[in-house]
Amino acid sequence: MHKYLFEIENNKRVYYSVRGESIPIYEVINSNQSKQIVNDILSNEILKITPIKEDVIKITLSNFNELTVSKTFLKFPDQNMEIKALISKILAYINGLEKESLETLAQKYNGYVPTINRTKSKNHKKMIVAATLAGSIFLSGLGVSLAKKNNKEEKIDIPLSDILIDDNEVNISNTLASNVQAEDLIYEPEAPLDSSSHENNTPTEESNTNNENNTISLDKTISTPEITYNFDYVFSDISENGKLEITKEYFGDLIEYYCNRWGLPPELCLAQLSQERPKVVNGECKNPFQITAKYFVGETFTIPVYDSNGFTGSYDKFTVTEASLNTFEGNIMAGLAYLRKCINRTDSLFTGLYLYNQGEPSLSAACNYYGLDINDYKGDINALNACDLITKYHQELYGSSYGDYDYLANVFRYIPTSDRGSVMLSYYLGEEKINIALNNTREYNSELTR
Amino acid sequence: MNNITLTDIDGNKYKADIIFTYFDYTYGKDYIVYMIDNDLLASSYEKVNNNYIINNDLSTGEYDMIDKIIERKMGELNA
Repeated sequence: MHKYLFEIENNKRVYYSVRGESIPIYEVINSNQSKQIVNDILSNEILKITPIKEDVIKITLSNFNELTVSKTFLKFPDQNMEIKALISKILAYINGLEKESLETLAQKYNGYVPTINRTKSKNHKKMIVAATLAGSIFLSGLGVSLAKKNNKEEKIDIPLSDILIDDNEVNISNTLASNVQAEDLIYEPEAPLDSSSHENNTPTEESNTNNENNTISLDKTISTPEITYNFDYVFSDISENGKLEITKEYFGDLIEYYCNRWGLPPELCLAQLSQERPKVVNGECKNPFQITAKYFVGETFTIPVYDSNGFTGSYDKFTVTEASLNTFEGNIMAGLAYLRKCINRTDSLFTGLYLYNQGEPSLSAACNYYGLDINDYKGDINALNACDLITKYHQELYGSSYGDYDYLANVFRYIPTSDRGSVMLSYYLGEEKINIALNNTREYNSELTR
Repeated sequence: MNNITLTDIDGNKYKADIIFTYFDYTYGKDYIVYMIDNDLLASSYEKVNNNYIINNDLSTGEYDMIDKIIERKMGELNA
């Protein structure tokens, strides 16, 4: 049995032969050998496709050779006929699985076309799936994106298959009830907001009941002590005079409102917006949070809602639209919701802030790249190490011009503190309130170097 | 058919047979069509903090749309 890994690195297809089990050894294969391997794969049947993680699948062939391939690889444009044939083969296999499911359904209903049982559908409570669905959604997304790329009007709908779900994967969902996080649960959102794209409603009786029943993470009787971290950070002194004041004038109320509502520190978000936004001209400011529409339009955010007592048990849910990004409020909401998502992904305010600039998956990508455990880089206590790791990773892969490696310093310059001054930033992570003392050590450091 | 275990927010588990997943451009949402105890059900799903959340509260328009997709797919089977 041979194992192969097909990957995209530095915008190029790279082919590896893999040896070893617990500690894999990757050997780069030259283009002639890779051609032979692709042909070998094409001449064998696919026995099984297994999701390894969200963006990676393992394909087992009838000769028991295994191919590990990422979504990036399958979506990467290429004129190579063998590669095109390989991708078509994988898609054909997936479509064949859907046909199989539909045929079984047709047999069950004796050829009649069934309709959804709407009452029973609605009666089921909200449900959670982890890795089981992840791989399938990867394939689903792959099918849709390839269909888009091929400019087909008809979308390719990719089925979920039992071949994708083995016993081990089913067990993953068994652990979900105990692992469930406040942010993982969806309730109907609270007060209506202005933008037409929002779907906020008053919580239903059912959702309130669900909330009371779920004592895992929402039980207010379990109080968590506040945690404080100290960060010594060298502040820059190049702040643009008056930019923070203009940010406050035009966006201060919105930032204040959503930061308080979504458990974020307003001082930091005002500073971040001051760093991000272009100039305000005649009361207009285009795309203040510099949201890249193509990545965000259509994305639905679900954000826990907080008040002065902490987590309220409610969530705001909204979908980003192109029109909403062109309004101050919609843009601010998308920016802050994305920041919240980055923070939740890393359990850290500063790492989350850095991910806002470097890309949400950066930390997990860096950890995967260096073979590190992401848990060692999560949390505020590891924030500086995490940011250094992301910088190292991007510098290694993309050189000196990937985002803004000085992003934190560039944001911090808009936080009003004096030299050697300190500011306390408070935010919520789940139910925990976390305080971070950010100390400006610029003067102190320059004293040391004298 | 394709088996998967779903867990609701109270920790109850359901074995489901999954028929297909579908992304609808009009609603901008991902949907999943599946069977539990011989009932054909549909939900939308989305990714929240690395977990996939299945939401069962769909609008009439969404159910109508999914019924049409099922009809189309079943029709294609016999084509």
